[in-house]
Amino acid sequence: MTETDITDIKLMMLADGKLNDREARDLRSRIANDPDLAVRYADFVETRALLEPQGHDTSTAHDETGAADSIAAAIRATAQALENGTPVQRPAIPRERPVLNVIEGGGTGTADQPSAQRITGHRAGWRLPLAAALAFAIGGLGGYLLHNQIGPQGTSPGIDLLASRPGLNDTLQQALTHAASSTDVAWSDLSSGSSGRIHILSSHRLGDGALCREYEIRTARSGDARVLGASCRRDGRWNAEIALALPGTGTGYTPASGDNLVERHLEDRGSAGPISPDEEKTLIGGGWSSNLK
Amino acid sequence: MAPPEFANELVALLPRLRRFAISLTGSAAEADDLVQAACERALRAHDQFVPGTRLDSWLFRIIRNLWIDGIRKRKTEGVMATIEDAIDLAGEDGRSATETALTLNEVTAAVEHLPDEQRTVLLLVCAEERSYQDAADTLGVPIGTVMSRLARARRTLTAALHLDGATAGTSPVRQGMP
Repeated sequence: MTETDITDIKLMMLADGKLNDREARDLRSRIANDPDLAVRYADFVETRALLEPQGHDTSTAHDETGAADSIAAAIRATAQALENGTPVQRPAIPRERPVLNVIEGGGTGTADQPSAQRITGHRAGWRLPLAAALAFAIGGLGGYLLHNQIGPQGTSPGIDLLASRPGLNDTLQQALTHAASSTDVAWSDLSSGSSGRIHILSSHRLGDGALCREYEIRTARSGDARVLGASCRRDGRWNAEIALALPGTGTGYTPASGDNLVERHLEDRGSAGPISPDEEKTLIGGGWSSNLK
Repeated sequence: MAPPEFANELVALLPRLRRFAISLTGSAAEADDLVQAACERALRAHDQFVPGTRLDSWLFRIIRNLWIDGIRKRKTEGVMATIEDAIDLAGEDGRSATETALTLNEVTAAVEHLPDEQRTVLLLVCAEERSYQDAADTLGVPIGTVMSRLARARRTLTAALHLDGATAGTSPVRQGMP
């Protein structure tokens, strides 16, 4: 089963929990990238759900975080607000400038920073919007990167670094495919005359089966300013999923909150933490084709 | 139904909604975000809920559509879709939830219209929650036969209930029985 059609039987087996872990991961990662397949899959999940015994509500699995309680509380709060005609309290999502401050490293004052409490907020709450507000999924390194919002004067070394470096992009693809975690790879880009290194941090497997790697990019000229990123394997390429540019602190390798944000983003997408060196080695050896049987 | 009362109905459904969303996404965290977004959306549109229809089916629709919209968005824009965006689309700007709730009778009638052999397998596996193998043993047919009948039954049901193809913002509100 490589590029052949996904049969209804397979989709049904996934919906019914009858595939083994490996097959399930494989299929889920395809579904996550294929809306038509997602529709077909949802049909099987939905028909089962409609027929299942109603009032069958004993499941407390997957609730070690108390998520059900916090969802219930949020529902009741929303209902009360609607009843009273008061504005629905939704967590304030930092949308415009705060986002840019984080991307640029927060050089313009503390008021717009997401508070520490938000960053370390309850696991079961509004994590995805938070991650989304802080993260920029981009179509690939070297693509559009917030030019409009940042404006010409606001370009940081990190943003600039990501903006257009074909040499970097190529090296990054190679490094992510072949280099083990904790190794450095040098890059240089003839078109811009810049160079630097890529440090591979870790590898992750997301809830939908996607394989992702976390890394750090530095340039020779930007001191300890750096870009922290995560890219996920799709269609034989690494696509940048999130990229945070952090300014230099002048003090060397001080971890900034951005380190956690990239990790957190991967966690929010279902990573259970970095995969083992052995598993990573296998993936590298197999060209990251674990999605195929 | 007043919003707080409606909220109680939603909370009672939470375990099933979360199971449904986890089946879709494969990730508890993603599922919880979906469920929370869907419940908020349902609350805002609670006056559109038709009494006598199945609230669970309405929420399944909303969750499903939010999920598929997210995948479409990620695909077409290369941008990470956020649940928050989905709420913005569906909520405060006055657009309404257009998902259709099913009546109990609709589901029952659609099941009754299935060929006998498909209906039996469907009820054994989906309603009685028996395993494929168990159903095969009960019926005295190979497990492969069970699976193909079951898949066909569910495809037919999907078509009969118009589950397929209806996505947020495009499906008309269907009132009561067809």
